[in-house]
Amino acid sequence: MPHLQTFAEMKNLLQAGFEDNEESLSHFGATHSTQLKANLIESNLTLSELPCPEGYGRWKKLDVEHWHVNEGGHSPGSLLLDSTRKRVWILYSLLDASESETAITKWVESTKGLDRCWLSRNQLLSLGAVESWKEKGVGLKFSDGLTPEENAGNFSLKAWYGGATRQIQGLEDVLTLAKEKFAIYSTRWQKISGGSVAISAEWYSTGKVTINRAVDVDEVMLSISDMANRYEDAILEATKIRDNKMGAFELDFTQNIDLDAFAQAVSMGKSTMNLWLVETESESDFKRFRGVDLHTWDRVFMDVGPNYAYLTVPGKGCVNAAPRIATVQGEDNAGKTSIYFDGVEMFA
Amino acid sequence: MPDTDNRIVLWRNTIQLFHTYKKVNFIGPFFATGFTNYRVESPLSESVTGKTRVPDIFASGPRGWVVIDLTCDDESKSGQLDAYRNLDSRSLSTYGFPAHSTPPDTMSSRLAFNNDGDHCEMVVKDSFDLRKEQYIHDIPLRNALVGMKGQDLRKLPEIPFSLVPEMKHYEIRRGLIDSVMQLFDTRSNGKTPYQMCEDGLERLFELVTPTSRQSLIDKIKQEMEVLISKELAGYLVFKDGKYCATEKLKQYPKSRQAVALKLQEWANPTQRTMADFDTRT
Repeated sequence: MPHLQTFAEMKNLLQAGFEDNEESLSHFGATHSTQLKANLIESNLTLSELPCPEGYGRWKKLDVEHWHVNEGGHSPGSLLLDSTRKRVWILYSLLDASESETAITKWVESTKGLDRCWLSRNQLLSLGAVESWKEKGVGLKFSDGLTPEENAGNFSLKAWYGGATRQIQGLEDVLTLAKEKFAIYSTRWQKISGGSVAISAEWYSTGKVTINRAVDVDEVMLSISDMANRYEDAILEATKIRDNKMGAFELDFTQNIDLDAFAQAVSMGKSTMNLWLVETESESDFKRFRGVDLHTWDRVFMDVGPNYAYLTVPGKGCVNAAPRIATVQGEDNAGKTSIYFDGVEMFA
Repeated sequence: MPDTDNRIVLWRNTIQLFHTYKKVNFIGPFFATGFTNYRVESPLSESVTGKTRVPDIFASGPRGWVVIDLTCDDESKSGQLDAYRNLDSRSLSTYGFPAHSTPPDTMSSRLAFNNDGDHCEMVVKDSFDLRKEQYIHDIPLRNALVGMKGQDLRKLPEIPFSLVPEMKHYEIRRGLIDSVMQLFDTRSNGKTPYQMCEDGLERLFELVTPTSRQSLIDKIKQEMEVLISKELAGYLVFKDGKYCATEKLKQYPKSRQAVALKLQEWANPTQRTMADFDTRT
């Protein structure tokens, strides 16, 4: 596996991976190129407090500020951490896809103060407003998680677009309708430069991006860093609201949810929502809950109606709960979900 | 009939008048007229005497400012509201708000009408009501408040604090639920009654007098004593000045549900609906 000492070496290694250049790769001790993945990590920690994912050694500082590489343990030189931003770090991974996912999920879930960045629909679609980027695919998910499995009305769809999409009349309309009804969990993009594909990437609602193809390492890192900046700006804005206002974040769902099933699920702290709540008031079309978000054990108050919820994060609880709950609940049971504060869309 | 969370309802329904919620088309009158900068329990000075006063809420808008006194007391707040008219608007600069050339519009917010003298009176119980709007000089605000009459307030969101000093008994228990649940985090070091008070009062904690704070801590101890000796006996203990979870709770859905139900029993002896809310204090 690669042995990296400097920032320049790290970039050279990533560049060699994009070019699948065996000679360059072997220079770093690597025998084959691995698809680059990056994970946006929401952090409330300082780096000195932070362990490496279990079994992957420890963080070693590179020769530039805020950049670290794992050394010792399994696969040294396969995890690269950019902690430039205070609240959103970027963890680059050269591990195989399944190994990477397992290691990073375990790391985030077992380290108090870390969470994923839960990308909203608008964030997943934000590259569409940037010159040269073209949307090339989408993944939609609705698990109907509040309905018993035998009756659940699941929906999932992954579509890659291209010229062929237009060959089936009405297909584009169906995709547009489905995107409006269900939560988006991934989007696929191409950056076109000089008439050819400069980057092909897929962003996921869990804050992960996979780089399927790329030409230039700087361009890739810049596009990932832009998303990290966007998410950090949103977190800082939401934190300011938490500290200075007393209104609630409003989650707006497209699907109606079964309030009794919701109450049952959260009283047990089960389902992918991972909320453990006690019902404190109840009407047929509105319930109030207080409890904890089991991702972080922060306190949360949720007031839930048939197709909306209010989320209040008391004290210094992490506001990352808002995008996380919106994303997870949207994909599990609530469909397309947007977050508002005072009528203005947040995490957008 | 259990005690009700009157004080939290009063605060919640008043605070939410400064906000808007899209899905249910709720537009608070203060939000609608630009009074989006507000502060809770923060000191201001009187203009001639320099005396410090701490209104429950004050807000600055594009044309003027307002001061609101929230109360569940039967006594008139006339004298206090009269005094708020002498507040010096230049002290708003302490909070980054602009000074205004006029005295503040003053009003009370209650769960039932009283007589608060020559000041506007809001009622924010199940639905919004208003009296003596002629004392509001900011015309757009006055119109927005009048237009709010009859609006349903029962389904507005919770606010970040769950305890206020005058609370009692079941109100306190409900205000502690989330703080108690945090004790079951396997990484929790437990919480002192002081820390639980800090959790519940949230941003009010620093603003409450030491006497009121201590009184609330004493009440928290009483209510927690019931919980650890009855509903969650064996699951929670009070040790070295802290409430801590024992290892009895296994983190399984059924176990969590059992604890949630016990907490519900402790805090809500009968399942409450919104119709349970009355104006008793």
